[in-house]
Amino acid sequence: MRDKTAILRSQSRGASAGNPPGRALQDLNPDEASLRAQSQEARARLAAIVESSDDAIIGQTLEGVITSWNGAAERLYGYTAEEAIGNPITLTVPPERMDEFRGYLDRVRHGERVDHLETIRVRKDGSRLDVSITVSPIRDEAGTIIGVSKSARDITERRRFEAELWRKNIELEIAGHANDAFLASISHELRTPLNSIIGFTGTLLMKLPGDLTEAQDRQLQLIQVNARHLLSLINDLLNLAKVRSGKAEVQVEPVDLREIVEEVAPTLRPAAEAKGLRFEVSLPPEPLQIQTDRRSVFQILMNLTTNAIKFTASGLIRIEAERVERTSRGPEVALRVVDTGRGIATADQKRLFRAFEQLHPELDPGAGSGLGLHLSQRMAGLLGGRIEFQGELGLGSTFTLFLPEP
Amino acid sequence: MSIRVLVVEDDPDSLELMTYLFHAFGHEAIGAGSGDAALSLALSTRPDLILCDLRLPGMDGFEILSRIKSDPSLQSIPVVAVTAYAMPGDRERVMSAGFRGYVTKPIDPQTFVRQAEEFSARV
Repeated sequence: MRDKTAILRSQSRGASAGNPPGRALQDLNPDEASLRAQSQEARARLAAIVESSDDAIIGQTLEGVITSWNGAAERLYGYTAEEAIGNPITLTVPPERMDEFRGYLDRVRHGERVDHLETIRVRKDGSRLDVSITVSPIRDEAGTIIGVSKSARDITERRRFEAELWRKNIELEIAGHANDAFLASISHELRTPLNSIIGFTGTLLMKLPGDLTEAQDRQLQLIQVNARHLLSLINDLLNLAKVRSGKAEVQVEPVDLREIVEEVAPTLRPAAEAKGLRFEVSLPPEPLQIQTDRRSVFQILMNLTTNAIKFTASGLIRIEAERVERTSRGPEVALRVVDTGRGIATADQKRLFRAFEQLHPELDPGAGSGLGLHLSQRMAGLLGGRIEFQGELGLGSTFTLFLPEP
Repeated sequence: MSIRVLVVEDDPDSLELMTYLFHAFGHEAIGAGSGDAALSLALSTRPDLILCDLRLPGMDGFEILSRIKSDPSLQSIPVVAVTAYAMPGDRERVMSAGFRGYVTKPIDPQTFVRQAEEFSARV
């Protein structure tokens, strides 16, 4: 019995209101003895819980003198229980945190609780650590405050992680700005020479410096066509760079898709008809209104239609627009470009939307950089939609831009 | 009606293009390769219109605009930006800064002069 008492006492490391000194269990009368045994067991259980905690749990008097100190406190602060108990808790408080300490101790003495205060403490070896502490009053049965309980958790790791995250964020922001400035600068540098090329071929073609022979006129036109083509490549590249870096801005507004078709059609109809192709437009009578970025949809449709015309030697180009009821994705609208061109072999279909892929550059001299479809697909993604392909080699192609509705 | 245009542009070829076009259409064009030159030429020649490239070494188009706006003898002259429009939000920036309008680069030689005439005519 005596041994058991001693073991219990050392296990609870002097936890509050320990056994009264002296009287061994066997000296008490049977009822008292059994009550006492029960209460000791309960205390021992609590003590074990305190011991097993990962948080430092420290008991203090109202003046801040340490009365209990668990294993986690030993690990956190470096003082053993023997070294800590009986000493003031200010051992662990760095000078610049003393005012803060006195402040909350005072509040706790008046019955308040301090929750998750993030502060700094000092270890036995003098090193500092970031901790989060909760301090609360200990009351007796009558409700009088008789002590202070503090639990502390090491948050150094979390702090370090947060600081790292903060720094990375700043780095990313700086890189983002640098990228913006780079893109703006490159854009300017690339467009400036084109100003002269397009501009002066223009003034010559306008015959401002004088008349032109037929050959001169023809050759200047070739220069100008290629210069404009170069300009659109540059624009595409820059747009792609923006989309890839997440910098592309989408201005969402209500757009009637029929209007966009009606802008694209007259622009490209002449090119189609010059090749002897039929050019048809099929639109619903009622408005096809969705929330989207007008310019992007226009660019995508221009790209798809230009491709269709380019790769169709005879037959027809048709632009369609309609509402689609889809079960898995919800209501959508579809802008479709159908052609009766050479079609795309099954083997080539999966390469369609990759950047810089030109399926058959030999068939398409003077053509694009292979950015068009890739950029269009990216842009479609930004709008919450996608482009799908349907078709077979020799049987024409259909490219459909799906956009969510509304 | 013939107008006097001050063109602020640091690329000499682009400057030659623009002044050539103005002359071809019967207008007077003065060239400035920098912000400082632009300000002193504006004061000495009192143009009807100022066309200003936004990206210039040193003082950029926005700063030139604000100097012109803050000079009582110059502030009534309309200033039009010439810009490539690289980044989203550029248009809003330009208009809210106080430019009368903008011309995109590369310029379209067929409509360039007419655009400038329209800008200088509006009150």
